Amino acid sequence: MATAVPTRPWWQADPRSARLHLAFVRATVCTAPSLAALVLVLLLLTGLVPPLLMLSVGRAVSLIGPAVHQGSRSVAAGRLDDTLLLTGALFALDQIIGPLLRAMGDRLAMRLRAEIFQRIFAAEVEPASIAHLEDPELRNVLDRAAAIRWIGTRWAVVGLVNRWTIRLGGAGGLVLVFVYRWWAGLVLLAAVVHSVRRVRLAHLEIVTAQIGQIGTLRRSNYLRDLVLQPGAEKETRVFGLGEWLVTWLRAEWLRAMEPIWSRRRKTISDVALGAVPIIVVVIAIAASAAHDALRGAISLGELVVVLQAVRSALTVVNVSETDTHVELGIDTFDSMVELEDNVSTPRVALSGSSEAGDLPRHEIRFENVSFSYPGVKRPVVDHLDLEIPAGRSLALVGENGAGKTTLLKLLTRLYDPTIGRVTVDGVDLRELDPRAWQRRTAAVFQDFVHYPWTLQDNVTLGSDLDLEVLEIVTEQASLGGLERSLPSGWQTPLSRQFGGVDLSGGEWQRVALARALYAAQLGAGILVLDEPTAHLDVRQEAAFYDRFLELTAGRTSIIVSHRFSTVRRAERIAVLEGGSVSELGSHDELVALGGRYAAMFAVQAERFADEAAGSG
Amino acid sequence: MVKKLRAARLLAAYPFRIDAWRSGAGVVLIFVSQASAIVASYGLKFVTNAVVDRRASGIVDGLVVLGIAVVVTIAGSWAAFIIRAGMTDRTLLAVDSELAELSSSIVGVAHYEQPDILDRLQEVSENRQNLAGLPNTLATGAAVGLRLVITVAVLAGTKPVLGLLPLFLAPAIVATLVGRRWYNRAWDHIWPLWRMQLAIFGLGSTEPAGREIRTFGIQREIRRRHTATFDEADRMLADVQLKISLTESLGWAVFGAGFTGALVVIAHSATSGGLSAGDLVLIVALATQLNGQVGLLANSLGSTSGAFRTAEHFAWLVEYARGDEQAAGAPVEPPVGLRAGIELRDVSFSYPGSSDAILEGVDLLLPAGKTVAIVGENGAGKTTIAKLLLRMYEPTAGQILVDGVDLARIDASKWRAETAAGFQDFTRFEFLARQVVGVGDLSHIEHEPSIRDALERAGATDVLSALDDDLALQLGRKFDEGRELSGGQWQKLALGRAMMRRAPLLLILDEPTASLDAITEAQLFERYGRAARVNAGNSSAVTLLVSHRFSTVRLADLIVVLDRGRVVEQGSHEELLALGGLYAELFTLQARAYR
Repeated sequence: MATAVPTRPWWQADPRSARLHLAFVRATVCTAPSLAALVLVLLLLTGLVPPLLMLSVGRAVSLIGPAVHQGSRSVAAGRLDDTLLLTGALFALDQIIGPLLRAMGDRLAMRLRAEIFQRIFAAEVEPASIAHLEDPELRNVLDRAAAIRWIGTRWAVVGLVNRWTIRLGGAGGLVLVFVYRWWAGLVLLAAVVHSVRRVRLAHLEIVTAQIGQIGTLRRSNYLRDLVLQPGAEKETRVFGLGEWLVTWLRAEWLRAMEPIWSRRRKTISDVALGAVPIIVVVIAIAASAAHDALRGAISLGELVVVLQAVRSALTVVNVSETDTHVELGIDTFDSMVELEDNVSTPRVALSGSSEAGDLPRHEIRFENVSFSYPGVKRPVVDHLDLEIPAGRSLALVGENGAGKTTLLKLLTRLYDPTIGRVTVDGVDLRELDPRAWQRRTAAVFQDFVHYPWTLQDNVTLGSDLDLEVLEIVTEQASLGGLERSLPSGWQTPLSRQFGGVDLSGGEWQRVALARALYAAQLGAGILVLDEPTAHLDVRQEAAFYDRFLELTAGRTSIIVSHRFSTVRRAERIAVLEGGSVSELGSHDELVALGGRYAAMFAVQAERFADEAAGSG
Repeated sequence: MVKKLRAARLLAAYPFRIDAWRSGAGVVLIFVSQASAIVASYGLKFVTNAVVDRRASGIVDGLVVLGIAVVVTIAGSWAAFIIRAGMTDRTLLAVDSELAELSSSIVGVAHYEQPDILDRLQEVSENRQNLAGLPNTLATGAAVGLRLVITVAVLAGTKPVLGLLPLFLAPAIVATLVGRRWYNRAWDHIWPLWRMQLAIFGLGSTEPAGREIRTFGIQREIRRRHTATFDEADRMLADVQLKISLTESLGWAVFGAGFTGALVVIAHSATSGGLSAGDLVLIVALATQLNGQVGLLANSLGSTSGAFRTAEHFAWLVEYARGDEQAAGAPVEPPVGLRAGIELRDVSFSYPGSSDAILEGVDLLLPAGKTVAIVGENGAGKTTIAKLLLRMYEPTAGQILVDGVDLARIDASKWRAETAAGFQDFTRFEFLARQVVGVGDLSHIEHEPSIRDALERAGATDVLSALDDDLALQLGRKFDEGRELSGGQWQKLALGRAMMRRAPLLLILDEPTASLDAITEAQLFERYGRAARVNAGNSSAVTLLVSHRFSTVRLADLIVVLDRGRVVEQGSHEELLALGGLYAELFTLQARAYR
């Protein structure tokens, strides 16, 4: 887009942008039709009133002569008074429209901002798969759309309203010039169109350069956040990274801005070329009108009208940041549309329509399943076979990167396998409605979410509130009584930023556990826990495994853990190595087998064995 | 008051400090553009009068004036735009890097954990472009004010009674200013909604939240909450906008009435021969621009108060950082090697703004050349001791002595250069692989053999092979072609980072293996034991381990048991087991799993 813009003839300049503009305006209107209609009416009034005002001033001027001549009680003087009153009324109307239009334009802008945020959000959360959140290619579109945080379509609408206020104001003047001499109007129109287009294209170039640098700016923003946001402060201090990071940040930033600046400098000549014709034309028309008035071809009043009219046409050439906002906002809109197209593909949306009912009644089975992430050749799960009996517990163990989390993602159908299939009671998961199947699962992953909501909402996630169940699951998660230590009990927001309190890592982990248990109590038949004890201390961990049987009783449960205290309580244990199952059995069976599991267990156990036996 | 002055000074001087040339040019251009608008109005008057007087030369003069004004207006507006944009860019960078410098110059980390400081940082960060526009804003205010005065003078000059017209303008100005205040107040309520909306929106694009939203099936619920923030904000905004636009319109209606009166006065003067047609044109031309001018004035006042708030926060942060600097006092060089060790003497600590004691009267000697493990339940104060030793916080009471020298007197960055640390909440630096590890010792960041050696000692060579042995790979998901690692792999790189400094006086390992599997962990600690002894041989170092895993804790020379901020037991593994206290209880609890 950037390179093609300046060389194209004007009648076919960037059609994509024109189409986008139209789509953007259409979306704005559809978002809030009545508000948009109101804004449109006000806009038309801003176009209509100024020329009427000019006409009435012109009429007043041409009446001054006769009124002076005929005296203050003459008919002409009476007409002059009427005209002046009309002028005053038009003037007052012109003044009143301004604030109304600004206010309504602002509201419309906020509504559109809301609409676009919601559409992007919907495109992010609605697809059954999470491929669009992980695939680098889709990720770029997502990032561009998510830039709405900073760019903001809000200013784009405000800018559009501003722009059309100015344009329509100028259009009124143009009409009056047409009335004076059609050829003058035509020449002025051509000059206005030429310079408006020049200015807009210059803007577009700058904006395109800015958008092109978003990726580069991401790095300097990242470095800034490393220093300013909580998270890295301990390590940046221990290793003395502050100065090094700031120097890097500046260098990255300057590298990103240089192309924008050079592009901006280049536009100066463009805009100058665009402005020359309109200046010449305005002066020429003014001169012609003055000449006509001098030789009596038009009246003094008409001259005044023409002079005001050409001047108002000039305002169209004014530039400001609002134009930049318009172009940036429209680009965000564009990336939203692209995102919507991308996530509606079968790869992301996932197929299947059968109801999940109360599956699994018998078992979930991985049949020769392989999976690799988009853009990565090496499979993470590699020809894996595994049967997970319904209503029983299974622990997954294995080294980092052995494929445990990916297996869970396939189980919860956040992805479909690349090869092979996952079946539930013999039915291929691909045939089930993915959303229905996902609702059958209650899964808390290692990096569970800290919702900026209340304690109650962090457990129930907004599903039907059952106080009894809430009590039960918090008790099961060893969180009983937490609400009593919080300022507003269950309704305390778990975020200092939103007027609540921050919990410790161990407390958060148990909140997340309660979350999964609550969903399970409400009917999700499959409990998935990924490292549920990583942040717990010895006593809390002991409390967890003491309750393990109670938590998993009768539920299809899959637990990933490095801690044998948890793992050994599972009815069956699967050892993952290199993306497939290498050992499968109960704790005692696997220890007896003397394989990988037994070795891992022995390393830990030998450190406890002697004294534990001695002191116990 | 002093604070306000400080903010005002910062505000006025800041843009000129960043880019004096652009700031000055911006100011000049604003006056030029305002002047050219008035000149253009005069051009119209000259032409009109010349036609009335039938003077061809007068017409040419008027056209020349008009032409000059037009050229200046257009050229000036574009130049001003380019300059403003350049100025904004440079201010963004200046504020960003200054904030970053400020923040990292502060020795401690309290400012990352206190919400009020975080809020200030956030606000400066978000509204930093306000600081760019200030000369423009002030100049606009001044120029518009000047223009109003000139307009009034011109009006009064043509007919003194017209000098009263500004009185009719007063309601409009007041309404605009009051409206601006209402608007800002409404936004004080809208901001929290806005922040909540952005927080929820942010969940949509992150992968961990993406998983949970689907497996819990809360798509509809989370979208409802997202939408609700908009609806509420829209409702608030609708109310206030209605109020504002009605009030402002009323104010302008009053001005419209006054203007109508003025026109009648002019007409009557004209009929009695005192005024020309050109005057009428001039007055209409000047008056029709007043609305826009007052709007500009109100905007500039509004953004000045916004910028002022930003500057106040900024000045506060500068002051906070400076206070920290002064508190540091005369810096002493850290020792070359440890002889006795590091001693905590009657150390107490509570977080700023909190009265809960995290540590209470801790007396503890970390002997030179030994490995020390700290155990205890969550909230016992283990991590706090690590933080105090690294000077992330200063003790509320008591002292930390390094071979008898108060740690508070030792230059913090030089002390830290003699330490190394790995944390449970390690950072996933999304850099090139070699940088991720290399930042552990900036002097060797490009030195591949050192990096490989550190990874070797951290037991992280398997990560290297997962990266196809390519240390130039971009890591993380944020940047193009970035390779994402698993949690455990990231953790191993963080451990490699902690191994970069070859002979630190103090090595702190604060639960750095939480997401590692059993075998890796065991191997790692055996290696640490060796490394610690090697370190001890060179310069008598202390290795401090914070852990919940008793299988590794027992390897330490000295084990310290903390309970609610106090040292309750210390000794070797065997001694503590024999003691039969808290350590023995927790050890037995964990050992149960392996019986």
